[in-house]
Amino acid sequence: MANTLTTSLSGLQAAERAIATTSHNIANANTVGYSRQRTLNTSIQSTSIGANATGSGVRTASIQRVHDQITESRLLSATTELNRVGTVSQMTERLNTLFSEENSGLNSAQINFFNALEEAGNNPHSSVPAQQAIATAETLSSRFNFVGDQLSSLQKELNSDIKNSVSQINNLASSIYSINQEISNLAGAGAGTPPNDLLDQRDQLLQQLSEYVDVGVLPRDRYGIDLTLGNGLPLVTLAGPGVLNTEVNPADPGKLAFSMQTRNGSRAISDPPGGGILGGLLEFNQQTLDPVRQEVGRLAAVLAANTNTAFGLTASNSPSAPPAGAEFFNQPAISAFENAGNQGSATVTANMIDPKATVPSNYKMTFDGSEYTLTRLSDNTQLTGTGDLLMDGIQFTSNGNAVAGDSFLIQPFTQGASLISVANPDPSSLADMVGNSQQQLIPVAQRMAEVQNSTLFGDESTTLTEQYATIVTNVGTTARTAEIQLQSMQNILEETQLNHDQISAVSLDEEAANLIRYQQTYEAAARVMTVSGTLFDTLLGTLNRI
Amino acid sequence: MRVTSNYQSRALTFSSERAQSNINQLQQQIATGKSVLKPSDDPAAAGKVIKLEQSLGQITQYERNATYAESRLSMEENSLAAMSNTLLSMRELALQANNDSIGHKDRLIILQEVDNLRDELFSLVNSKGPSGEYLFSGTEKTTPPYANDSIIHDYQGNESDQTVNIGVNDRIQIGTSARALMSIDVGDNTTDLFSTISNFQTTLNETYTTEERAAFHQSMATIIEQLDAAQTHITANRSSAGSQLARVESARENNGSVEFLLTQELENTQGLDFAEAISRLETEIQGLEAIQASYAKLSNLSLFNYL
Repeated sequence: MANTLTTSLSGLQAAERAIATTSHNIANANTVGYSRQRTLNTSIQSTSIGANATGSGVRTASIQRVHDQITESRLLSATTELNRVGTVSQMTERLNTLFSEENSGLNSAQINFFNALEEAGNNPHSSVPAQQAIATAETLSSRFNFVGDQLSSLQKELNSDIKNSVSQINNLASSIYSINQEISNLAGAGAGTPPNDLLDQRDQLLQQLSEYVDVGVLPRDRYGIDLTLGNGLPLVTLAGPGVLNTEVNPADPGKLAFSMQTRNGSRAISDPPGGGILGGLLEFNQQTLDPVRQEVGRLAAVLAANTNTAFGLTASNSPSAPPAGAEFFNQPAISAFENAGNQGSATVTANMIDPKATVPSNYKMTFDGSEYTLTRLSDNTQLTGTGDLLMDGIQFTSNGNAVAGDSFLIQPFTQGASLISVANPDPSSLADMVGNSQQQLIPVAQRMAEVQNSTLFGDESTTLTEQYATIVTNVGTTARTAEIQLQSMQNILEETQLNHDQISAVSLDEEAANLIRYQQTYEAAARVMTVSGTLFDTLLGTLNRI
Repeated sequence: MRVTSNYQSRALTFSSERAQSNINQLQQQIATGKSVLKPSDDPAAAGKVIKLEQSLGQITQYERNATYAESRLSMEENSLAAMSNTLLSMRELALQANNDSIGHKDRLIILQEVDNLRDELFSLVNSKGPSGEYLFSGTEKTTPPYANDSIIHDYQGNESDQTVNIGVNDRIQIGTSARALMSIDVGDNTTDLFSTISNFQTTLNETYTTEERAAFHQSMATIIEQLDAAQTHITANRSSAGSQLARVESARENNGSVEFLLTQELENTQGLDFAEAISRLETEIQGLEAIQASYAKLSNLSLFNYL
């Protein structure tokens, strides 16, 4: 009799626990990252053996979250990939907007400039068209400056986004480390029920971390995990979380370099971590922003060089004619940087001597103790020698004493669009010629106007406009590709998320049905108790009568 | 399949975001009338638009240049026609004066007319163009070809030609130097029209004796011969201006049709097919409405409503 009572009591307790679990599920229906939980019951074996041995009730063995590791890791990698593609797309979209004509205005400024030059050539007797030509040149160079400045502030923004991502990665890694500890402590206590909610929280943190960077998850013990970055560097281990650091790149002051700080000290990372927002930022920087800056800068530099040649070609005695070698545009200077770790005092200067032979690339010069090696960074073509080195129409000159191992970065065009400007005062001679030497104004203006129809870029044999159109088409293609990748990745992540939800998310209808079911079980168990009580009373009554 | 509670809201948000972004894009296209708003909308078309716009910009400039050349050349032609008439009158006067029945007094009357014709010629040679520039000073456009001095006839302009771009690889020459225009080649001698006229004036002004008559006729014959040569020269220049004008005219026609083609091409490249865009917009809106309506219905479906 007493056995029936304990049996039904165990049923009551199990039902109660199930109802509590259901209510936990309902309460967390909208908790991000929550996995639904369910009770796992086992029947209790009879204590005696024999023909009449009956079981002695139910026991809640554990409460488990409904969770599938494969779906979970699929969700992580889809999240990483979506965020990488999304970041690339978002950044490329900025370029895409910048290069729409209504924003950049480069094409119309260019058209107006060359038309104004023709007009000045037609009317050498009137100073209005000549002044107009100078004014349109100002507009053209300011449009270049606008685009160049937007691009360089995008670079600064990228660097600060990279730093933010890195600090998010560090925060998340350290949170995951501490939650790992907590989980180990709880699991160590030996309770049958896993630390479900902590595991959910950790998965949630992992999910957040995977937004920023590609992360590898390695199970350590029963519930603990180790994390590595996509490039194999350990991020979270038993020993503690690693700290990712960024500093100014010694080879390129405009870029960042990475290092990893662990208990064993700091170590430079030559191959920066990829994937996620961080990977997307780095990828966009290297594959899109850098080339676009070089291309647009080259456009400005080549325009300036050719216009200047056409302008300063006339060596004349007339005081108002452009003096031989006069500049119409200030030729954008080529940037050269010494590596911060250089031991010697040498500097490098570079000059464009053949605009038509240029290609959009940066260059690296290294000194081995006797010779310099010049590397075109776009394809690693090398040239070795002493003295001046000439590659792609650019002359590289080293000055001072270098020590073996010293290196230099040369960026011929990165700043070009920001640096072009109308020279002062030479262009005013265009207007001065109106009064004094009209006959020279005509050929000067016409030669300058002819620049627009000349093939100025040898690598692709294109004119200025064709080259610009190519840049815009490339930006558009990159943005479009990123957009398409993003959309398909969104579909994939959505699919994975739905898959995950199908397994782990709460269905309120299901919980409602469970609630009714458990309530009925509870009522039934309670009813068994009543019955058992009645049976006991009956027995007592019978005994009394005896 | 196990449909969870947030499945519905996620699926709705996802598909309604897509629909809304499509609607937004279409609205922008309709508002601007362009199908290519950003390079990514159609990268190849975006590049093509840049080249087309540059070509159109150039054609527009060719048109402006051609208009300028046309008005210059027709003014040159008019001036040359007037010069030719002046020379014709002068020749008639020379023939009249060369007649023995004409006395000194009559020649003085003729001289007055010649004086007027000379001034007329002088002002014709110093004609100005559409923007106040001298037509016959070469490229020294603010300097008159000849100073207003009836004795010295020194050309003050230069011999440079001006060319104007009136089409792709099509440059036309405008302006002739007055020195070339006024120079007369008869036999081996080169002189200029103003010296001839000056001789004419001197000859008319002089009296001559019977013995000197032959010499007078001789000078008059030379003058007439030189006037004829000048006439031929100016007529040749006039017809050359005429044929330049015809070239400008045909270049303009050519530019016009190229411009038409380019504009059409530009329209095809970036223009919007409104009918198609609007019907797509309607489809998208209907889709979005359907998503929203179905969500409103689904959100009422909960077992808890019946507990």
